[in-house]
Amino acid sequence: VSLALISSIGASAQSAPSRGSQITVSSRADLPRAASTLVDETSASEWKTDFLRELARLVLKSQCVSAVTLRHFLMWFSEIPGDLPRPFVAVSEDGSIGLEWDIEGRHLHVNFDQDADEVYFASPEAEWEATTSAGEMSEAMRAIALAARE
Amino acid sequence: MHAVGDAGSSDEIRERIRAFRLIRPDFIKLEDGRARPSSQAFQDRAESGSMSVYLEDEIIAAGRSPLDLLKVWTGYRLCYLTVGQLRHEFGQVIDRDPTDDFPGHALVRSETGRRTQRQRSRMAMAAQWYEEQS
Repeated sequence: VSLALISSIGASAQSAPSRGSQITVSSRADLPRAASTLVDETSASEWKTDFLRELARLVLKSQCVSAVTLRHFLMWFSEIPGDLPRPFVAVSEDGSIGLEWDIEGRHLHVNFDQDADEVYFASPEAEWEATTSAGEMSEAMRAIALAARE
Repeated sequence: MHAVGDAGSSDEIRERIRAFRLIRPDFIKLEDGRARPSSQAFQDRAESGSMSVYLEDEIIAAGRSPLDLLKVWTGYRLCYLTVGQLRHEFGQVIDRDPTDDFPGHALVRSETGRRTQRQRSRMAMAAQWYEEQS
């Protein structure tokens, strides 16, 4: 199967769970149309548009990211706060998607793969490992957003 | 496959052997203006359940330099952790796994079976770049 492209993502946190079912994996032929959809719909943060373009390029190049991983990632991504800075993103050889924020001694690393997601956070005050559904996630994202503003 | 140490050197030296990891350009990020390896560079390969490194003692014994790795894998950068760090700080097991590509190939896997995000992140943070004068 020729992978893949994100063809739909909602910027609204409220609509994200129901929109998750709309996420599709498109063929290479659909690339230009799908990319323009991203431009139109992403408004919460300007970096998200470029970020998703970069992710689409990485996913197409790797050819091993599963639809399950993409969907899982997008459902989470559509809900993250707009005041976060742009993260580093990489797609590994096993098809997992990794996002990393490293600012002023604060590190938030999130990894999505076929089976699960994992989060690592470290700062001068705390260090923990959890999943994206953990209550500490909002605190970690706030710490990253604050560090970026300073 | 042989456990690291079979080459006959003392424990002290074995712990201090550097394990070189090749880093793909798209796994290098900028952190506060400095290039750093991403934790994604420390994922296991799906087929082997482990990640590849090259051990310094065998590279030197073969009359090669770690920098020669970059002649084989152009565009990559080279970072390292010591065998002692891998074992004691990150709970990894290192097994020699000779290949035809380059001397010193070894496989690194987690004692618990799967390397966690915390382990990958901390390995990426602890890794040092290997440059000409390292």
